[in-house]
Amino acid sequence: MPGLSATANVLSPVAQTQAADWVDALAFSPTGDTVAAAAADGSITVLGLDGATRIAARHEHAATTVAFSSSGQLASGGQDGQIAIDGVLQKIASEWVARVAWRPDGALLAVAYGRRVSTYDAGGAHQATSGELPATVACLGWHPRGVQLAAGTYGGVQLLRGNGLARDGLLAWKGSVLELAISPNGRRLAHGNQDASVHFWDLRKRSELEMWGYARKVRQLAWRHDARYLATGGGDEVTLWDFAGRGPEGTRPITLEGHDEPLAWLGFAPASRRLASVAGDGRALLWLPGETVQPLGAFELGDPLTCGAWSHDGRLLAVGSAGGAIAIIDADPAT
Amino acid sequence: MSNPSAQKTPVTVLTGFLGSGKTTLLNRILTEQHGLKIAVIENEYGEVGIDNDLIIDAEEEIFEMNNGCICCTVRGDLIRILGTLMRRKERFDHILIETTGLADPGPVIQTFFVDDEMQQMLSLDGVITLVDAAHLALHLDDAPEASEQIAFADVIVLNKVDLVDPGTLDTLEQRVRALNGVAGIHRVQQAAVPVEKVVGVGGFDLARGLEIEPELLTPSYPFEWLGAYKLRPGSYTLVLGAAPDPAVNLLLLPMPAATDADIDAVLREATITFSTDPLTLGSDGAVSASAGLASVPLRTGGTSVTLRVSDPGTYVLFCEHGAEELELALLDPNGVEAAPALSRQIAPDHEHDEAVGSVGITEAGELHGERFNAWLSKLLQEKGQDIFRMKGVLAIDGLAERFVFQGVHMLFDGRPDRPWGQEERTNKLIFIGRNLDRGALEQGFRACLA
Repeated sequence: MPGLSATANVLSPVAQTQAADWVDALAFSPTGDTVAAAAADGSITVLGLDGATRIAARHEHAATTVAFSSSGQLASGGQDGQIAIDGVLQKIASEWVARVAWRPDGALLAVAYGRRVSTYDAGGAHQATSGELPATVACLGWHPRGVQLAAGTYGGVQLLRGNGLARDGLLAWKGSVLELAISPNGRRLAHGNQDASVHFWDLRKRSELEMWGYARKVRQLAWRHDARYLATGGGDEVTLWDFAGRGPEGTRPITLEGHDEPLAWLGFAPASRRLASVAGDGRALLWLPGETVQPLGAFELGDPLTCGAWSHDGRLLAVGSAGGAIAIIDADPAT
Repeated sequence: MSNPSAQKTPVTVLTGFLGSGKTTLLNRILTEQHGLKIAVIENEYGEVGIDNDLIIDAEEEIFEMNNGCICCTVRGDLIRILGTLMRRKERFDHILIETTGLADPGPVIQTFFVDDEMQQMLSLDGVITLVDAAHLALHLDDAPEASEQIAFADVIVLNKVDLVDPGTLDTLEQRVRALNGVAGIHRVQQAAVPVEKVVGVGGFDLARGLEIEPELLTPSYPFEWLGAYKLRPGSYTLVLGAAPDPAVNLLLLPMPAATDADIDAVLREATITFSTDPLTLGSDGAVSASAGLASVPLRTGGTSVTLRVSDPGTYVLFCEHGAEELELALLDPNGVEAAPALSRQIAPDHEHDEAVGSVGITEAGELHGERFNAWLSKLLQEKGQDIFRMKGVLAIDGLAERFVFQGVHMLFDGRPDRPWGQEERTNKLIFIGRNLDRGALEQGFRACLA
């Protein structure tokens, strides 16, 4: 294993199960005792820490997205144009559902499908629908205070009002936005792009900054809880931008090398300095960016990993694989 | 770790105007017993789920890449759909993408070259263009998209041939051939083309041989007639009876003997000289050997111009227009008509008749690798928008293997292939595109020979 020091802890699974197909997305329940997985066969599998497994919903075609609200409600979406809230399916569109995202207070669910975004209340009642955006919505992100919703498309990031979904500003950018992440302090928005770049916006000053030089398109973004670091993927390496002081403009990023296949997912543990990286080489690695460039811990599965999720207490990491494996790992090794 | 995507799934792109028979062909492919599991991506109704027949409807979304390369437009919807399609455990043997009637095939093809995931999981097999024989002439005259779709194709299915008479069909096929000099052409009725002729054609397979239609390899010349004369010292008179243009360009070059081989040897010099600015002859001017290109003003009712010869020998006269058209005659100092020992009528250069066309080049000899690379980079930078497809097999100086390459607009892919072995080291390449300048391509390529 390149880049792995002998001191990296081998992490072990707490619970494991098998979904029917490729795992597209994972979410931890707020209590940290269950993980939900959206799989390419359409199933939403829920795995408990005790190893108990159940199917929460079945979409007719691939399930693409899954999210738990802060109050523990489970939402999912699929290529059948349906969403499910706590197992209750409803057809909302003829297009594929690309994303579901709960407002931080858990009272409103935003759903991206085709060129539109709609919101639903926790009971599944439709609240609002945006106007048609110029292109298909690829990603969604709520402002931490829930006042605004960001939708990434080809052509930039459209900001929508949380209530009513009226247009509330466009971060115009000539390219295809694949993933976005708003910093936990709400000051910055980063998006990863089809043409192997990452773009930053200062949401107050509306200033912007472009970072080129990635090996691949960038679909992995993760802010540290204090908004000091943004971890980005776009290849085998993790690239971290430091937002201390006037950064990251003019600074050299930190790079973390340990994977030998492209990254699939990145996530900072909530309220922690630990970062998890998950990649096509079948490995999940734990890092302490800015402190050491060697991984703290490693978990390996004999199958390319496709996604990940942290528990809210930052102690458990869930990973999913191309072959449908779902594992919950104890990711709080003594450091 | 072994990659589950190591086995790439081949993709066929199906283009053709509305009414050309794409739907009939698709239905044929889906219902025929060929043992292949095929996924079809159509594009009329917007993105909806995958149904039991493995048909996905997609709404075309063209993405321009933000890297300054105007040619790198891709189909964003295909990246999304194919990305998730390849995640299904139940993998397909083949993927078929149908484009809308008026679609430019460029962005679809480029998607497979530009996107890293697509490159990793899928391989482009070929572009199939369906053509409605009964309406092709109309489409070619009215819609530039029709010629572009033909130009991009690896296989052209000339459909509905029962609706036109055989003579018209031959003319149509010639027009298609002039647009695309390498594609296979199948004449069919009711889109009844065997699946194996459209699936697994290997159009983007670098290792495949390159068969270029011979007529596309005929170099073009800026002159339409040449005559070799044995001349003695003295003043000859060239009589030009007709005046189709206000002036005509003439060039006189010496050569060792009046043989075809000797003529071939001076063709290149003549081609290059014809691209220089001609010297306009005054009323008392004379054409003499190796004095450069002369522009002779033509008068209605006939023109006489002096041809001055100082040394005895064989000379070849190159003429911008045909001898018959000009009613050309050469009179010796005694006023007796001198017949050429050898003459050639050269087919006029038709590159401007059809804006879209093919230029094939075949040239024995070793290619200077770096020079070729520099030339091609510059060519693609300047003309990439107009070059739809490009393929070649090259003999690079110092390389034991054949170097095979292909390109779509500005995107280029090349690598050493199998060793030449006993085969003659000959460079073969073809450009298919819009407003291609055969002379400039030939000249640029030859300048790269070591």
